[in-house]
Amino acid sequence: MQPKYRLADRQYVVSPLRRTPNRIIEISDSQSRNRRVSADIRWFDHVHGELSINGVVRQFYAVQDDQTIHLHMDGKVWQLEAVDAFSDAAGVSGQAQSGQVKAPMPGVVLEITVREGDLVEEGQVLMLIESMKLQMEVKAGRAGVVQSLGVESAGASFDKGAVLANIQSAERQEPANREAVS
Amino acid sequence: MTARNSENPDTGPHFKKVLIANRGEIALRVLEALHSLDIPSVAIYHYVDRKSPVVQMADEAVEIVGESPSGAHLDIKQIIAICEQLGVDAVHPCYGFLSENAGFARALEDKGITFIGPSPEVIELMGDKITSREFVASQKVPVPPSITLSAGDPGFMQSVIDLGFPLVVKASAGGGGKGMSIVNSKEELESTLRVASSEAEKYFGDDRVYIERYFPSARHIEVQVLGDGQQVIHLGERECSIQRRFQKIVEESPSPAFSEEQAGEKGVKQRESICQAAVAIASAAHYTSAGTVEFLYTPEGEYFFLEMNTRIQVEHPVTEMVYDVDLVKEQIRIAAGHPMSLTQEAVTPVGHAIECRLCAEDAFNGFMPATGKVLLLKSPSGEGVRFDSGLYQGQEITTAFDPMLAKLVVHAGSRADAIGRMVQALRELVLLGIDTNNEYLTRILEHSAFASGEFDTAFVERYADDLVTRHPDKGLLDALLIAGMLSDRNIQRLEEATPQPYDAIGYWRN
Repeated sequence: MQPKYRLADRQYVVSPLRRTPNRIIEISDSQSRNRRVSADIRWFDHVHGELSINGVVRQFYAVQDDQTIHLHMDGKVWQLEAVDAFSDAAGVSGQAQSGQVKAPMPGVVLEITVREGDLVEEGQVLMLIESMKLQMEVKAGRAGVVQSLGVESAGASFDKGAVLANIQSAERQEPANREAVS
Repeated sequence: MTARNSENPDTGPHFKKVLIANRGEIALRVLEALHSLDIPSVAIYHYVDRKSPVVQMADEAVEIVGESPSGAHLDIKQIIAICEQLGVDAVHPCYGFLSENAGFARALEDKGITFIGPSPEVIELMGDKITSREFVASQKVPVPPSITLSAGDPGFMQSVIDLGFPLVVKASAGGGGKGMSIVNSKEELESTLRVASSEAEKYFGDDRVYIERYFPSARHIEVQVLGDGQQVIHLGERECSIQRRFQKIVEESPSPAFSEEQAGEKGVKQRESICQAAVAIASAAHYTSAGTVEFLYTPEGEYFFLEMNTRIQVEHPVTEMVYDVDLVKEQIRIAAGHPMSLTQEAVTPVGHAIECRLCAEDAFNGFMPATGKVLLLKSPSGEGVRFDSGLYQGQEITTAFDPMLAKLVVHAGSRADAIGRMVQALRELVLLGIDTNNEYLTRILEHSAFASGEFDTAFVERYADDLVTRHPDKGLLDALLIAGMLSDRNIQRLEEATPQPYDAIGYWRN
């Protein structure tokens, strides 16, 4: 079990390694930089706590709403999104190799930001979808051309496994496309 | 309890029962004044507001219905029917909604119910920006150069060129920063006039527009006035130049524009002059109740009349804190036929007050309105800190109403201390579950141009690159991630289920 959270567009794994005699937590980010942190926590009530890390004490307030943990710390508010197994493991970005971008679960299209025939870069946002109250960006797993879109427009709903988009890699194009381009 | 500046204690009857024709923070604020005067209160509310504090605390509360929550609050017939049913003899309209609706004031008058505000005639005079301009000009108070011809009249185009660009097209029935369009060139003029006119018809029911010189770099300074039929006094000025989308977000009193640092010896004279101009206008209009005269103040030290608001204003608390007065109580006294409890000689300002408007919006992304829910609310407190809010935990924040959630107001001995106190209060305020402009307001208060007091209405645009969010340093980032993870109920449940001995043997690692 590796709790994953997204904070301001970056994802982190925050694993509790040990609880007693003191807490050790391992944090790793998307660049696989790991660090182990020794922390102490004291709760005043169910929303108000005090965290002590390397002698630095910070009070905080925290409230959870579904997948979001709202925090108040150091004079401002922050939002941590718990990244659950579904949206990560199935990985909308995990189908990098096949060129087919499939929906990990049923949902609805919020916005389509590309058109068929568009040249896209790896990681470029193709559309915005909403799935189980979570908004997600659907990104191109690799650079290429948007060969086809599996959904028509904003508001269209789709099932789990539906092909949302088909990206043909720039190096290997269908003969038909090559004709159209030249 | 007598305010420092009032001569006469609160005695004598006021009203049998007052209905608060509004919602949110201002309805609660008015309720407080009614409580302190021992006047029975009635709150009206739309279904979505049924759990709000004013509804819980008023002596009586009646639900109002309408096509939309805002629509319900604009239903004159329904509100008057409720007044008649409950034996209400006075209505406080607060700000917004029907507060500047002369028809509402008249309809109440016809039923023998007191409208806590000025007369319908004065509301009409000042509500029409064209007639109010003419009235003020007749009192020899400067008004911005403008064009009174219609687009079809000969000589119109020449007038426009003589006036000079940039211009602003304003809706005659507009106000509060709404119904304004800037025109930068002759080519834009025709289409802007057309759009402005049709929008004015749509939003204000009156398609008349007029054109004024636009001052891109000026200060917005307003003066609080109070009249009771015998006298009109002023309670100083408020500086309101920090605006986004023509709407104020930070206000303060007194204005740093008149301080010794900025204006030298002339500052005192300038302030006196602009305050006296406001009193002259209100007196000539035989103004009763609380009102505000808004001016444009140029870098050259000239001022021009903008508009008069014939109601209590959102930012009235900064004046209350500097002058130690209760303006809403004065409104109620005056409406009941009593003289105000203040005199011009006795009202003296002390210290400095600043107000920040907390709004439900993503301030770092074009101020997009935000929706959400108040999951946790802890208001800041302490000496010189005032938090005017109708917020309650569990409240759904939707686009049904104005994005302003609450007002944070501080008072201190000096402007610098007030700024420090405000920054601390903004940091102490805990509001979880909805995006607000809290951090954005902190950026403004911390900005050197705000601290120096040398700014104008272009502040927000001019310093947009500085008014950005701050990213956490590594220490804070780790703390956030750990606090988040340990607050995660899913983790907490697993921790509780895990027997102690296994904690130490890396049970969690996969």
